[in-house]
Amino acid sequence: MTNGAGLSARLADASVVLCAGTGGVGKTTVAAAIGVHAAMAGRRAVVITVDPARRLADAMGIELSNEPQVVVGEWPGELSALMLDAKQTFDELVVREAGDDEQAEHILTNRLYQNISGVLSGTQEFMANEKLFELYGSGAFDVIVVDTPPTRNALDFLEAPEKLVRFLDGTLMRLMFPRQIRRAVNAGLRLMLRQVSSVVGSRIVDDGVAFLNAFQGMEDGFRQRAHDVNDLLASKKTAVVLVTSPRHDTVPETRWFADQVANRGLRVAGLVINRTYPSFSDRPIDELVELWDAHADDALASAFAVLVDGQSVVADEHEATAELGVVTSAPIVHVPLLDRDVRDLDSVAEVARYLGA
Amino acid sequence: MDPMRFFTTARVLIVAGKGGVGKTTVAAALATAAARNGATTLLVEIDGKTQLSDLFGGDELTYDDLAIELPDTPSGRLTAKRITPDKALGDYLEGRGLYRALRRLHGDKVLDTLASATPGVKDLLVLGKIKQLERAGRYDLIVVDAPASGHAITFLRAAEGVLDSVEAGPIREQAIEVGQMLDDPERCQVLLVTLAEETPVTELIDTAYRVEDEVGVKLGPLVVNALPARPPEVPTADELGGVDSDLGDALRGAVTFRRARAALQAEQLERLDIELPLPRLHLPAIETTPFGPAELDQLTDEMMIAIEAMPSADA
Repeated sequence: MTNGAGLSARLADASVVLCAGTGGVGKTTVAAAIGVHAAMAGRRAVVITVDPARRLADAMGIELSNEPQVVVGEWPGELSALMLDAKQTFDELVVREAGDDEQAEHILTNRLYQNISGVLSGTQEFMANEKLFELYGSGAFDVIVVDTPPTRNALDFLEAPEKLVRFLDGTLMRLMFPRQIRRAVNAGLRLMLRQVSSVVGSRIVDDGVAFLNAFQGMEDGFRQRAHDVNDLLASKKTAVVLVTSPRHDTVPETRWFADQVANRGLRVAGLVINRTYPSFSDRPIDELVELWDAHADDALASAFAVLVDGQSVVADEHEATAELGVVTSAPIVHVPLLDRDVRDLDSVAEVARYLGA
Repeated sequence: MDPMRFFTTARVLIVAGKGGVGKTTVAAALATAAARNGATTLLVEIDGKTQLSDLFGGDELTYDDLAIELPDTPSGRLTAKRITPDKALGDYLEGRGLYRALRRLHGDKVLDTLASATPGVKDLLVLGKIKQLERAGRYDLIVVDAPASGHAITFLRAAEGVLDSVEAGPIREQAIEVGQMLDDPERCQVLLVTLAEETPVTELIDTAYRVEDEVGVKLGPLVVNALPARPPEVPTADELGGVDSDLGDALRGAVTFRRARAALQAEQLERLDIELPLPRLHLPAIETTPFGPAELDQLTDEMMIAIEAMPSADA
């Protein structure tokens, strides 16, 4: 039923692996395990996490920063990991794309830029894309594994390049771009700006105009970049690994996301059902319940209670995940709930073994 | 602690936690428990797609109030609704005679434009609506099912973010008023939910410090959800003498595994004792899935027991 070899084969030639799934299913662990798996296969791998919980760092035994840090382990390949710093990545992007230092300085010191580069929703997703592309372009890695933000935001991750293009081409940009405002003197737009000012104050509008003014000339570079990232994600080089928990409440979200991924023409390399409860008996649950009844008054009663309870969890999970087989034709891999927490390289390697390493 | 005292500690309880820890069920159980105890309660959903309607076995929540009928509880005690930024914006601007003018010009683009220009404005609008409901005084308690924890911080910091970028106008006033609500522990507290597992606890501790340091909202008790029952001892060879060997292995294996998991959980609770010494509500695991009205009822009973077992705040 579990098909680690199938997943392993499909990841063997991927240059980019996106780990996607809803929150709390263990995406970060699976991403780390895929990285270990690749290193064991002799590849040069890097894992990008956006998880601020430092869990990957702890598991890998390193301090994570915005640049890849080498993880020392016994494998023929190489493994590095980094934790995305969206603001720093954005700053570096501005510096690189700006025509000169002065332009970069104008943008970096703009109040609006400082606000959006840190907190604006979507910035993190866009910068994860940017980091991915930067590492891809460096040629230093055979495979880049991305621990994407939780599902709904993972979609944002996939849509970030398009969104940026839409923003660059969009109303707000045209509206605030002084050059274009001059070109199309539109009383309606001016009135709209005044109305916006009346609600949020004029400073924000002034900041916006100044920001976009400073941005002038850079939009083509950004647009090109967005297109390139989009092409990479849609190409055969990119594989998506869907991660889900075996529970009724996360399976529908996984189905939904699998559909979204398929609609975008992305290649699904596999579906990982993470932390499945281990089964301890092949006997039918009804039989176990009868045996429990028979032992209701002896020393084994409480042990039977635990066994029956565990086997019903197994049955429940089986039912919840049954429909996942129809969602995707990709290999399905079960990673069991371990009797220890995944918090060091050994336990990450144990998860990697279930993925077919 | 006397339940009614607990439910009137603050008028707004924001329930936050990492995805997958049962934040929504805990919020629903809290609201139900409060209503059963006689508090007129509003349960607010914020995220687009949640299971609240499944929990109550009823319709999808909308911006309009939905009365939730509870057994043995007078009608009108529990109301649920969903607050979305666009509805909140419409409401807000309309109240100030600004909406019609803006709408005539650009239809529904207004919110997008505002949101692009002002980070945090969407969250602020939602918080602003909650503040308005709190001020109106119709409810004894408002329970908010907040976005998952990373986003919870962004959500709670919205007012501050807007204050940084907006120097005048009604949105700034809104941000100031929301900030006042968040700063006042009698008006608003945050309840963090976790499982007794490594990752959720690590994230909980991180979120807790950020909620207090960066947002300045008072933290209420921590909710540790889905704690399994204490496992029995591993059966001895003697005890297993009378059963088939495959069954003996299964019993030993199941109990040994459960004990290993329980030891990990106990370790996490000890970590909380040391790293985040706050009062705690312990809720037992309710294994049945899917989680529906009957399970919510059960969790609500457990919530009551946990609240009564908690020492009083001033003790």
